[in-house]
Amino acid sequence: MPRFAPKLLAALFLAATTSAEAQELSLNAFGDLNYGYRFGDPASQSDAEAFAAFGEDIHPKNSHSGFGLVGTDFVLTADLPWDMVYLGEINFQVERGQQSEFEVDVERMFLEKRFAEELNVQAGLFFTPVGYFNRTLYSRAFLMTSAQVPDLFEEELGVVPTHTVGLQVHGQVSPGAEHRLGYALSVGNGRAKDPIANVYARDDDGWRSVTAMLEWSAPWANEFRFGVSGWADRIRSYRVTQLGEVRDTLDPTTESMRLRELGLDAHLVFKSRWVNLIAEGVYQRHDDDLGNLPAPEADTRVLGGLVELSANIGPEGSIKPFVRYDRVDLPDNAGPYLGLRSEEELITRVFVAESSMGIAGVTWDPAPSWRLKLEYSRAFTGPREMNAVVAQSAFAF
Amino acid sequence: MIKRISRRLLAASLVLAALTQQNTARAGRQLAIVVNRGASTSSLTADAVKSYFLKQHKQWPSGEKVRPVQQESAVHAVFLSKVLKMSGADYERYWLERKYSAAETPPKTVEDGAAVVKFVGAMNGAIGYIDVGELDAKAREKLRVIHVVSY
Repeated sequence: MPRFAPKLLAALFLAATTSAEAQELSLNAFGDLNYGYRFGDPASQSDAEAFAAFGEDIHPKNSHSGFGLVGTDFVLTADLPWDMVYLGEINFQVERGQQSEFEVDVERMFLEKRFAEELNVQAGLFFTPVGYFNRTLYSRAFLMTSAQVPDLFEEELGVVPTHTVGLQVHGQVSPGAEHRLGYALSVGNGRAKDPIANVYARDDDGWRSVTAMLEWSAPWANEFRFGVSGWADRIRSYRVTQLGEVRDTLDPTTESMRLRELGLDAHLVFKSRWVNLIAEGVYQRHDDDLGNLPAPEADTRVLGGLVELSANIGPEGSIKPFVRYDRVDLPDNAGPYLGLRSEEELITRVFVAESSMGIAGVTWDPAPSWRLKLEYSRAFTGPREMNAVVAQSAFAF
Repeated sequence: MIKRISRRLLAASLVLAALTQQNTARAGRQLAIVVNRGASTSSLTADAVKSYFLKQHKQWPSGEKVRPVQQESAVHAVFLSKVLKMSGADYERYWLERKYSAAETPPKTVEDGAAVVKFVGAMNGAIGYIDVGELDAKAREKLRVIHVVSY
């Protein structure tokens, strides 16, 4: 996410809210406070050593040891004339790996024209229409059951492209009896030379990413959705093979690479009076497009997913015991692309770990806008300590 | 003797009448889902009403935009539990999620049944709810009842 001077951002935000002559404005805020305690040996000693030498922050941002402020998120929605809607979302957050620094992020900023239920057109910065977690819960603690963002959808790991700048067309048709078939199709700037760099203002690589999603919603229980989505992109980057190696992209000896990225996602959501299930899986592949990569790098696969099961008990279902399992399987060395990080003209390779984690906990909603969580997580692979306990107070209003 | 029996009969009748009235009042309260008189829709299922108020569907079959309106009064709680089958907390959370994920805002809120009559009566595509007791002849001229639930 881009870093802006807070004053400039505030001015832009204010200008957007006042000049648009909005018919109806709505401002919401999301935030959370955490206390975490991690203990035990690393789940994988070799991963811990590799991480210590070449890694970035290993912990999900909500589960460091000690007290933690993750951030506060402000979402402004304005219903404008001519069936237009503006949404601006600004996040004051602690970046993963920077435990003492806040930054200002523009999470989303788009204008949407609502022509009909079947056709809406969105332009700007939006969540890539992939799956359920990324579009619906994203990383807002208040909306999630667990305190921890799954690695698969962690923006700062870059496995799934969480945001897109571009155009999105979306809508729904009704086959009957309150069933709905929703769709989304987006074209955007796509991936940069490393997976966590964003391409907001320009995209010089000559290709745009394309994402498509179909989702069926049925009037069963409180909520039922099943959806499939996929994205395709071409990535222009540089070949950096050794952990810790730094290459200058202006150096003619630095080898270029071009990759074709294809991702597929399937999700199932079922929420009833008593139980809730969220299941989502992702398959992603990177294929050499120039023909200059050796065999292990030329064709790599990522598999990941999460399954969460929770129950609704207590007054009005306000207490939710839950279990969740997260997993991300990476190719050797995280493949040719996912381990790259860039800063200006320099590009390096960091250690990115696979993860496999089980979480069990309970949430309690003392009020509709306040959620308390207590959970234990066990890391089965990767450099993290095996055990963690996290308490969280998440709010929205 | 006859006088005493008459008195007892009268007392019993009064008690019976009072009980009947009470039961009628308790059993007879109804909530009406209403649309503008000019709407093409003549009836709706409870699921359809729910989908319009939750903005899961935003157009009538005719293509007209759906304009749901909700009340601040006590009838709102009845509407949530009997029609939407949601608690107040569920409803609040639902709109927080919808605002976040889809930039959708909750239905327009008005003060009471009279304001619902005024809004729905004046606005094409509007849908609201009102206690049947508030549906007088003047209101019925402007509105069409498309679904009724007892409470």
